[in-house]
Amino acid sequence: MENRELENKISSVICGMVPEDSFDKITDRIAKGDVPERSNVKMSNGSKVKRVLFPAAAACIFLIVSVVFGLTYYGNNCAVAAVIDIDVNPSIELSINKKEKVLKVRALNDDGKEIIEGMELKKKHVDVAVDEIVGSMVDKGYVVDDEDSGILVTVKNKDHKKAEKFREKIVEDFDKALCDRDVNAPVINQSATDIEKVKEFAEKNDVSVGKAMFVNKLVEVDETLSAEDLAKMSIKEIMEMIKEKDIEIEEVAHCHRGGNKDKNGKDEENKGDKENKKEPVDGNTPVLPEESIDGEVPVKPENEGKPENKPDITPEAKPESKPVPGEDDLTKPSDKDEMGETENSDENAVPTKPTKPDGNAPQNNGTQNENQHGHKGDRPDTEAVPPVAEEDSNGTEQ
Amino acid sequence: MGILIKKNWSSGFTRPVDEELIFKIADGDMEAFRDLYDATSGSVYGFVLSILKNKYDADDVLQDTFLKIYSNAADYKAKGKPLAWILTIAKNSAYSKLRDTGKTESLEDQHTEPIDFSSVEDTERRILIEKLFEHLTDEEKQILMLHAVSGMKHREIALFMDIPLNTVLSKYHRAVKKLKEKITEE
Repeated sequence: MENRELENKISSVICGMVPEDSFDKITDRIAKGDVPERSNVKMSNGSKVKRVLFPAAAACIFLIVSVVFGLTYYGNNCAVAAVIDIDVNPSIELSINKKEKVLKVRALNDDGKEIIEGMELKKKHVDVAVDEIVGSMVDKGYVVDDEDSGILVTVKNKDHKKAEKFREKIVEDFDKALCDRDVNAPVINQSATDIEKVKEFAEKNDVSVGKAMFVNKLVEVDETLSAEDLAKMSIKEIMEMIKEKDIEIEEVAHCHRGGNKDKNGKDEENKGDKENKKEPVDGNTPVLPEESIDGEVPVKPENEGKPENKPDITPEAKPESKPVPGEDDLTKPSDKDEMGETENSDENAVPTKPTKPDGNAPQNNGTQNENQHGHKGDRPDTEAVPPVAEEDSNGTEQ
Repeated sequence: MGILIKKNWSSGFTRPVDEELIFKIADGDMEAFRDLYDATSGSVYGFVLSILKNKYDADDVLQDTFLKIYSNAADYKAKGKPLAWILTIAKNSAYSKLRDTGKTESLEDQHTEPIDFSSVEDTERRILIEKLFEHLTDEEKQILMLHAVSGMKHREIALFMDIPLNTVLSKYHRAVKKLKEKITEE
């Protein structure tokens, strides 16, 4: 007997056994209202193994996908890919993610607070944030159309290549922001991979890590300088001092001079500067940023048109002009004393105290105030700036 | 819309059991209720009989099952498995009956009165059904009923009874083989 035949016989017997009056009984009970209450009919959804394993496997896959997606998302959007210090006198710190979106904005001093006040920079692309910050700095007179001023930009990342990549990108953003406003101000820029060496100095002197690194590298180039004193100066003041002391800025950091100066006919000059300043990036100059970061004393190029006797801060001059506590430690004895030009040294050695524009405005030297920013003419001239100890008593900081 | 194929007991050909019938029953369509009863009463009866091993209890459960179908039709969710839904109600009702009558769920080891199949006129078929209930285990009987009477595939039986497919296949083949042997002995 075939299986099918067997099944048909079983089926026919069973179906034939169904009581004929059952349906009538059912309809009678329905008519009488003898109907059971509605109940939830739970059907089997598969074997126990499948019921347990399938959801477990699905949960595992979901978990793995979630973790992978989450990590990728976190890496791209939430993790800090680089931290950018912007120093003029206002100091601002931007934390950006891999997509170059701003994750966090922090003002590192009161002037920085003034700059970013009312700004919504979070989640914006870094070029937009830079544009807004530069715009605000220009509007408030912190960044001026002066080749001797400057913006210090420091890109911090533990990976040197990433730091350099971000630095180059950020410099372009700053260049564009300045060009758009027809402001010619150099963008001094550096990348930082190991910030531990200067972190303590930065905290102690209440400056950004970028500025701390910058002034310490300056001191390495010119040992007559005092890092603590430099930390109190604005970037413009430091740049002016660098110029007067004839220090090559490229020995300390990259310097990008990309301001749009057609109206002043300075294009050619700037182009020349650009070409010259790009040399460090190509590795042909004595000091690359990464070398500087390592704290190695950069080697100056031989005779790059520098005057033999560069102006310098003399140890003798500093104590007279700067009655800073612990000054003996700050002024370092130097064999350059013989080269020192005390007239300039006095002026440069005085770390001016940048303050807010409205009476507490950033203190630029008198020349700048008079020539470029008459509206800030109420700021004290450099000559009028009291020694550091007196400034400290005013309570301003930087 | 799920359509199940049910074997017709009298001629062996099949006719569809339309899921739409349940929706119509939910709307109070008694004609649809009758159609559904005609299409599935054999399956329900054979299945509950294999559990209860008592014609009268099986008849009671058959009625209970269709009354529950009638009252729960509105809750039926279209999944393409109307017969599985019906047989689930039947199974629950059968086990409920067992509890009501004070019997354990498994009558495997219990001595029960043999079912009277004297109403089956065809001798060969009567012997066949007697041997089936006499020699097959409960699970073998249920698998054979679901496959032979309800027309369910082995995969569907495995899903419905919540046991592995291989178990269904082996039990089915063992049951058929055993049944054939017993018939031959006769």
